[in-house]
Amino acid sequence: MAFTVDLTTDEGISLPWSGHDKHFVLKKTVDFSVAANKLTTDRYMALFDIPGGVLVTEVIVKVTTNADSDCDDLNVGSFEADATPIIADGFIDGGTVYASTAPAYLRDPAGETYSINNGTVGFVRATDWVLGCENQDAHDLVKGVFTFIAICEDLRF
Amino acid sequence: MAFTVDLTENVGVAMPFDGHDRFFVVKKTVDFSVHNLANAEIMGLFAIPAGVLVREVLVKVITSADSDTTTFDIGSFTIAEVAIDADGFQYNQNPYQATVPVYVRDPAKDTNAAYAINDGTAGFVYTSDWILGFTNTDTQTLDHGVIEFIAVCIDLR
Repeated sequence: MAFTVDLTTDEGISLPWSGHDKHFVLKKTVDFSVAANKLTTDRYMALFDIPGGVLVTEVIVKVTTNADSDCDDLNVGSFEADATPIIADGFIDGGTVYASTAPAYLRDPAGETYSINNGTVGFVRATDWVLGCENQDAHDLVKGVFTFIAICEDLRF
Repeated sequence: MAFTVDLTENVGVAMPFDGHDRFFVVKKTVDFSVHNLANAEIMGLFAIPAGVLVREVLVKVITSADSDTTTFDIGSFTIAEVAIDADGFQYNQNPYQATVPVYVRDPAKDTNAAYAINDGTAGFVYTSDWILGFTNTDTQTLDHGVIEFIAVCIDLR
């Protein structure tokens, strides 16, 4: 038996080829005790501009310094450029940013829209969007140092 | 509507940038006829730095173990060699394979394999250095077979 159509043309034999080096990691550290970074309830922070065609598979938050114990409910998700939520809690929903032992990694691998498990394994779309976070707690987020880490794959090559 | 805080600073627009080249694979081949492992003994394979996410550990059985040795686990241990989750990556897998070479994966969480890609945490990242290790859970000594251990990693540091 033979393939009716064979388009392999040896691609894949001598990996990596032109599709290598398209995995990358975005990081940004935010100190919420800085006045300009404070977030009141239901306010949004824009973190990264994500181009159309880039798949963000997971967002992990490293809590380096805790938030106050009364402010413990953080969402991470997707937004339009004008801050309209697409899915504001697609990556992390109600994340605990007051960790008992900091530093700690905060993940939400199951149960959210973009989750690796039971979700869409990240988010990609054809137009640019903004990866952002939301203070969902009733208290102001005025303390804590968090590093936002987005694991990405550039599908545009 | 607008973002309360905008920290995008065009980061992410000109991908990839300095966050590329953070995906890697670590591999090690072990000849168990040289490195015997009795029941419940543990082999340290890779020292994993804090902040490195190990997504999955695959095993390539190049030469089969003896047919009386049929179970092993792969998981995480502290630097002091205390189990964190000794079967987090692979649980109760089989080093005896009738047809070799063959890849052995454990992508789904059952009652174990907590780090599984499916229904698990999709890997493990820790704020302290740790060791990726292998346990012979069979009652017989593992004294035959050549196995390659492959850890798929993302450096989040």
